[in-house]
Amino acid sequence: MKSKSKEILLQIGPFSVLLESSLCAVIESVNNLYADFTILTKSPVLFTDFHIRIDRANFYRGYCRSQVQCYIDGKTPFKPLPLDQAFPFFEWGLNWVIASHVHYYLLVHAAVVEKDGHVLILCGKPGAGKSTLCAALSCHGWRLFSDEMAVIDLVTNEIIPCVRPVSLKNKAIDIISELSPGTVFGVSYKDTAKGTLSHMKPSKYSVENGDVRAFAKWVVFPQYKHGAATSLKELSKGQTVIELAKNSFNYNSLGIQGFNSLCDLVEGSHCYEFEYSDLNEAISLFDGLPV
Amino acid sequence: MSSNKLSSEIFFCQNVICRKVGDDFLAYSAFTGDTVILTYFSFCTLNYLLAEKLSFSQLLKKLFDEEKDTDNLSVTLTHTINELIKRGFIFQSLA
Repeated sequence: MKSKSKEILLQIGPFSVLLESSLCAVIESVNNLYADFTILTKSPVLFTDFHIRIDRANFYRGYCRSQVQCYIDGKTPFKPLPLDQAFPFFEWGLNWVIASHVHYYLLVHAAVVEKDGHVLILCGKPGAGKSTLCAALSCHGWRLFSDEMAVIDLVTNEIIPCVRPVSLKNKAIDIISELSPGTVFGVSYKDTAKGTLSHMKPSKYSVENGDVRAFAKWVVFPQYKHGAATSLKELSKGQTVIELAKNSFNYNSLGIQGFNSLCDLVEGSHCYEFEYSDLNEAISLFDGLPV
Repeated sequence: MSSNKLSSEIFFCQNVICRKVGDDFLAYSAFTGDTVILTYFSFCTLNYLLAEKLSFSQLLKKLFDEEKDTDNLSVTLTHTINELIKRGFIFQSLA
């Protein structure tokens, strides 16, 4: 349903994001999933990092079926999507705009959680099970930093939280619902490019501590494999740097600074390959990782 | 490229950084954006060339102490230089 355009200025990690939409579904999802976030007041002195508008595609685009378009700083880098995917479009648009525009931090495609001041980076290809693992850990005492990217300060090498709803797909939605019955989920979106998708609301604790940075202690490359025994194998630090570089959005743009930053991060971390099928075993194992 | 061809040239490194991380030796070339894990021998080779421009014979001399198998030293160095040239870690110029 379309109504008057509404603007919400959100503080998401180190970024201020202005969302504009006239679609009730988008505003309702933001009000639900970003309920604990700081809503900034728009002012001429406040710099807005990104302006994302989610609205119906123009008349010709939407003539045959209702479609939604994502406008980023006034431009449309994507093809429109079905109207019912308006909120996921905002989340995907935000992923894209951060990954392709932010070069003052090192960005690695990874899920990130923290416990007792130590950060665990879960890095891997899509479908490796990192978001599921990240969601499970964040429901069991770990603080969520991000399920999408590790944001690394190039000067201090601290990991910067960029807390947002966790995007879960297909079976992972039911698995996390069963594992943590109190968890709040947003709408389920069927038939997206990634299958069925739903967003898990981040814990209030994670959101309220969204400005508390920490150093990486563990870098883990998880791989979910049906029926596999839980197994954690040490990975060489050299190979870890190579893998993190492959999964970075802007490693090459940063040149030698990016290389040094990754090397420093890995030097101070324990590095592992991790195979699992049982989330409870995985949670116990990560709770007992050596510091 | 044969060692005969290499012997007439001077080698040098530019916009390259080498580091030891854990037990591994790594290098990054800002020229190609490539990151590689190096053997100790190639790590030494790069470090000598980062310090100064050297000819093949000068490099051989410097690496003599690092490599036990001196019979194959020339072959190993030729292979190492060729690989690192391909990946943008070493550059060559005529002597």
